[in-house]
This record gives sequence, C-alpha cells and structure tokens, in this order.
Amino acid sequence: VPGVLRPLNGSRPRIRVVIADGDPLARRVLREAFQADTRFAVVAEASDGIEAVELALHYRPEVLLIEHAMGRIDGIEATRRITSRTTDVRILFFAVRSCEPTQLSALRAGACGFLPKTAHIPDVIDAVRCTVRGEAVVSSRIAACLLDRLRALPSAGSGMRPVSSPLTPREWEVTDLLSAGRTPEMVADELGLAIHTVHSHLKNVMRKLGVHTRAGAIQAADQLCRGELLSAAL
Amino acid sequence: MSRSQWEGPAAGGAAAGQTRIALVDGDPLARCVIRAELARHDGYTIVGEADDVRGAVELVGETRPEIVILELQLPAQAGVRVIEQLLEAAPGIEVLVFSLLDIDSELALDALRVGACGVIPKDQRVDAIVQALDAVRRGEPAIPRRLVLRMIERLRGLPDAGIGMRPVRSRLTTREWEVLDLMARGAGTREMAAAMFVSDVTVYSHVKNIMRKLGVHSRAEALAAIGTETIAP
Repeated sequence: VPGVLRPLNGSRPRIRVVIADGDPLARRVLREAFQADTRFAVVAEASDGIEAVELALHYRPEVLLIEHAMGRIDGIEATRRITSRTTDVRILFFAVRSCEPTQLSALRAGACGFLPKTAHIPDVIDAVRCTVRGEAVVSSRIAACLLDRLRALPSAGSGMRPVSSPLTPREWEVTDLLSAGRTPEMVADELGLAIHTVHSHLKNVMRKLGVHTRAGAIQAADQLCRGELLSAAL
Repeated sequence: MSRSQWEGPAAGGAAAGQTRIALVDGDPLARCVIRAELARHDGYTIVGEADDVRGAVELVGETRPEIVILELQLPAQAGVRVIEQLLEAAPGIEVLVFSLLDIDSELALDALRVGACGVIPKDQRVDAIVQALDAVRRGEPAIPRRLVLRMIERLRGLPDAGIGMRPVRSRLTTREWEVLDLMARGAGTREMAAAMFVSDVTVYSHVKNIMRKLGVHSRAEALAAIGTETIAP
C-alpha cells in the first residue's frame, strides 16, 4: 500500500479516492475538485471497468467513485469483482440516468451509494465523506424500496423455507412449528409423531446447523430463511 | 400515568393541516423534551401520551393518530413486539421509533422489518425528530444513512434470482421445487439436467408433474402459479 498522504496542516490522513470514468473531462472535473480540498487525495484514475478493478485492488482507496456505463465491464460488474476480493473499498456510483433496478443491483453488488451525474461538487464531496463514515448515500425512493424488500424477507416460523437447504422436509416442518412458538409436545401432536421422534428430528437439525440448543436452532433456521447462512450451510 | 389524552380543540379536532401525533415513552423527561420540540414547529398536534404498552395500545386505538413516536424500551416490555401491537390496534398509523438504541443493532433493523416507518436513535439532536416527522408526512421513510447501509448489507445476502423460498408444506416435492427454482432463473431443460445431475428425461417428467399438480399447461404458467402456491401454505 502506498504511503499515507497527510495534509500539510494537520494530523488526519487524507481520504484516498480513485476515480473511474470513461470521460476524461468528467475525471478532470472531479480530480480538480478533490485536489482543491486538503481532506482528499486522488491516488489514481481509471478509464474503463477493468482498470477500475485493477486500480481499486492495487491502491485500496477509502472510496472508489465509479461511473456505471464504462467500457469493457460496467460499474456493477467491476463492483462485484472488487467486493469479492475486498470489503475495504467503499464504492460510490455515478450514473447519467439510472432506474431503480440498476441502483438496487449496484447496491446488491456492493456499492454503498448512488449519485446522479448532475450532482454538484459539494454534494459529491459530502457523499464521499458519508460513505467513509459508514453511511449509505441513496435517494428516499431507493430507501423506500429497500424498506419494502426488508419487510418482504421471510422469517422462520412463517411456513416458508428455502428451496435449497441442508434440512429434510420433515425437519423443516418441526423447525417451522418450533419457530412459531410451539413446544415439542405440541409439534408431536400437530404432526402426528411420537415425542421422541420430534426430539430426534430436533437433534439432527441442531447437528446440521451446528448449534447446541433449541433457541440456537430457531435462530439459525431464521438466518437460513433470510439467506444469511446459505453459503455456510450448503 | 398509563396514558393521558389531550382534551380541547387542539387535540380533538386538530386544526386543518395539523398532523396528529401520539407520544409513547416511559420517561416523563423525554416526553417533555419532545413535546417542547414539537411546540416550536407548526403542523404537529400531540393528541395523547402513554408510558407503557397497555396505555399505548388503548391510546392509539381511541385517538387514531397519524404518527406514533415510540420508545422501544418500555416498562415491563422492551422490543419490537409493541410495534406490531400498535399496528394491529390501529392499522394505517405510522410508527416512528425514537429510542435509546444502537443504530447498528439488530433491534433497529427488526423495528423496520415489523413495520416502523423510521428509526431515530435518541443520541441524535432533538430536532432530528421533527425532520423525521416531516419525512414521514411526505410519505418517505425516516432512516439514518448508517441504518440504510445496514439494510443494504442485509439484502445482499439474498439469492440473486430464482424463487429462493418455498412453503414448508407443499404438494410439490423437494426435487420439483428445485426444478421450479432453476426454471425461475431462466434455465432450460438441458441446464436443469446438468445442474441437478439427472437426464433430460427426468427433468421433463418433473416438469410434467409440476404442471399437473399446479393445474397449468406451460412452464410460464407454472412460474406464474408459484406466487399463489407460496402464499397458500
């Protein structure tokens, strides 16, 4: 990693920025804006998606400003490639025009914000500082979309389960009822099983999910339903 | 006090254009600060206050406020369950959480998930509450940028395409759901066969059984039917 640049006057290290945009003029406008501000240092510029990936992984800047429509690979694909290698680089998107699905895809790929290309320089600088603080930069419309999606997330005990999962259908039935607040006795009654059969299903569920208590199994099943454990459990 | 309802024209009738607010917080000092802050701004009328869950549910049911300002740490019951109780008591209200909580906590996400329209941590400046109310009144969520990032991170865990979820109990077998999931991802017979390590003929027979069970005659219709199948357990 290249040496940390420090502003002339103070002790706080500068925020290191990489700019990726196919348009040299757009890059120059941004570079000049950041260079005029002692809190930032532009460490590299990329003119297409592949370069953006290479430079982001080499310099590991705090923030990568990336234009969505770039040559070779687009901003979303570049973001995927970067975030599969590191989560240290915060990625802020720029787009001339962007519909909601594009913005949501970018966020899912690993971006933490989206700016219209018409944004004024002070807003861009403000957005970069927000992302460094661990904040998202999205419009209220996108925030509302995210909220809708969050609410649509299934949870254990709702009668739904993932299509692919390490548990058998019977184990899901038992886990689902336990998650919905039933006791093992009630589960046995409801499914027409002997109580020791319910306990042995539960034991297998705990083993498969790598937990040691019923509460742990319920929590892990909930995470499976939200898609958080998928990669770990399969 | 369990609850108190404000009498008089300001509360009952609420002058035109005034947004009716119910205030639920176990801490009298917090209520006092919020009340004073709202009084400094036009457009908001407090129709009543409550300091516990029971009082809050009664208050909201009777006064039907537009927005409830809610502390989640209430005596005898802390957590997001109270949000569900309030929404059951008065569907259509907006619940704005203004609470002593860590913005990075699961509690904050859970509050949004069960129906809160916004979450403001109490360590914010008190004028954050009015900004949040203004947003809610415009029909926008009132979620700090940091919490928006938490939401994004949560949603990144989901599968990219396909149906992902299925009912626990279903007329379709596990294998048939896997076929449907691949179909929803746009896979053709050959790709499904490769992904499932079976022959094309086996895939055809799964597809045939799915269509028979769902009472449809094409793959497109089968995919369209999943919606109803997943809603009805």
